[in-house]
Amino acid sequence: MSLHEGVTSGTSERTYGRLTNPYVPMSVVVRRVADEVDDRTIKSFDLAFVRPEDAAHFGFTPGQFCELSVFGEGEAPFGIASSPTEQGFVRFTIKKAGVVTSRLHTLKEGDVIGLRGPLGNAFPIDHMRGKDLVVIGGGFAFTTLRSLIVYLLEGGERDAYGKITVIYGARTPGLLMYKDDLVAWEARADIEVWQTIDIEAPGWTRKVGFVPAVVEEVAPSAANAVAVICGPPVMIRFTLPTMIKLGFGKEQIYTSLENRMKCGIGKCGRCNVGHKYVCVDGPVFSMAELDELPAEY
Amino acid sequence: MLDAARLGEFVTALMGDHRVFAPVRREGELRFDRVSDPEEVVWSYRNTTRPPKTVMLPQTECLIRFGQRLDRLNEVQATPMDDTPTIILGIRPCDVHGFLLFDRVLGQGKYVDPYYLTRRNNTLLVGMACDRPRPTCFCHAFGSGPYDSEGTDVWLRKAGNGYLVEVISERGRALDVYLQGLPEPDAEQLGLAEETERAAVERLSAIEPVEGIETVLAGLFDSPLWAEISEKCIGCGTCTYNCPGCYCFNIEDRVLAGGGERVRSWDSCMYPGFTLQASGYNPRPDQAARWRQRTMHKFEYLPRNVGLYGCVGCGRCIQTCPVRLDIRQVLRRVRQEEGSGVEA
Repeated sequence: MSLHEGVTSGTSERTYGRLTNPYVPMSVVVRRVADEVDDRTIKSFDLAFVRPEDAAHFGFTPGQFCELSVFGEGEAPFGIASSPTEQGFVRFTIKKAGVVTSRLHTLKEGDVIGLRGPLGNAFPIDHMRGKDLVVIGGGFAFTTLRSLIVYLLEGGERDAYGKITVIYGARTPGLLMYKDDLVAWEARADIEVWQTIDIEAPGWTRKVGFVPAVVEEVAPSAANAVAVICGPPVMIRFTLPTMIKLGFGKEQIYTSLENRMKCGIGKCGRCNVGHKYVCVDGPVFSMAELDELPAEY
Repeated sequence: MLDAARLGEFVTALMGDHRVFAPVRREGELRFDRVSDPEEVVWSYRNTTRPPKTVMLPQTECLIRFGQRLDRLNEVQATPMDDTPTIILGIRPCDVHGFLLFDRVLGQGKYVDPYYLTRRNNTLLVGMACDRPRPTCFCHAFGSGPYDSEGTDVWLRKAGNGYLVEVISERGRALDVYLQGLPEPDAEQLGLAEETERAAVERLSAIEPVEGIETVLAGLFDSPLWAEISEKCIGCGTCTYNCPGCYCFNIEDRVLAGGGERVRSWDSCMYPGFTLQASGYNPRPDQAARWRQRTMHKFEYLPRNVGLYGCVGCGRCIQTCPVRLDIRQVLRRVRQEEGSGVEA
């Protein structure tokens, strides 16, 4: 049986015809590995599909995720860091934290791993049309935000969106990811980028201070705007009141959740927040939606 | 009417072109297992220690196999789907309802589980009315009962020395061929069947209907109730493993000579590792949070998401809990909170 061939369920009268098997990964080859931060705990992996038909069928929207597997070690979910506009590879930025991620960090160009996806919902791109966009990120949680920003800038429809303001913070300059992208965005007139670090560092000429303080200072307008906030829980907790003060309603603010996951398809029963499953109902939720759910994340 | 004398013949006929699972004694335990000899089928029993969910959702199963080397193309092979014609013989109404729940969770939705669904589509349920409900049984709290044939394909009811046989579903007609030529029950046998049913229903314990508990639970997420309930829980997970409604699973890789396999195995929300994140953070940090999850999932989230409760009232968790936690008492305790001023 080949990779994505469906399965015919035998001789029963109630044969469902060809069932697709959502547990079978596609083979992808590592094309490029790059360090993202100076303590070398975060790397980006550009992956290309081994089979051309997999590449042809793979389509996603920023905010979605995939399950990556290193055979023999297991599977884990990661947000897609590249944009659908970047052809020929799918990028994942991965922090070394557990069994699977530690093994992923040993990968070299040419290694083959498995990928299932895209999974989950996505950022509300259609809802963002005609509106200003405020993107707020902290530390390592900038992966799907990069996907979103590149998509809005390079999707050939920049004019369909209003002003784009990016506020991105990390503890030190060396812990800011996607440095080349940040430099390129700073040089553009159609996006405003504010980088900040927690405490002053030699040679640093941009903002200094925690993300909520910089948000308050930059004060993006809430009028006809959508905000996306991804970062450590403590950053989100302290940024939220600032956003409310700036006039953002909870239905205007989106975030992405990361509960422990296995199947990624709403079956294995562990990533739920109340009655919603992060894998299929999320990972993107508005703050208004989260208000309706218990704080189980 | 299927006389006791013909039961062996009946099972032999079924075994001719089906894999038959039925209650048998194995390793000192009564359980649903593959029948190798018609004589080993235990016809007179109350219920098995473990539910027959193993037939359709094995405790451990291989989903895919893969080659060992990472530096070349890994051809991943899905395990072939198991479409062997199968019969579960003697399944009780509670356990049938467990499969009706699995159908909605694993067999429906944006994604379907092909391993489950293929087995399910090739399995017939020959149910058996429950003639001696246990004191811990409470299927009737869900609107079901020991004589509820819903979800079965063929239905057996005890009548004296034998069984009344009835084809319930369209799929069940496939078994007509084994039932041809059986004598019609006589008046005495019908009378005995009624008497048995009446006696079974009289055995049922008093319990409030479960319906509506979801609206009470919706307001109890932050209640101190969960700490109180979970106080004596030792987190062994027996309740979930023995539950016909529990389907949550883990997926792990196993390395073997020349390659490996990705296996799915039952998991339990009663374990800390179920939700432990790589950072060390756990959104369900204590047994109180885990008891809340188990209760909410079965009695609030599932009815809301798929329209069925995650509990069928089989009472196995009550019987096998080493510290005698009783889900019926938990539900009564939840009811006490109704209107206690805790708001959703």
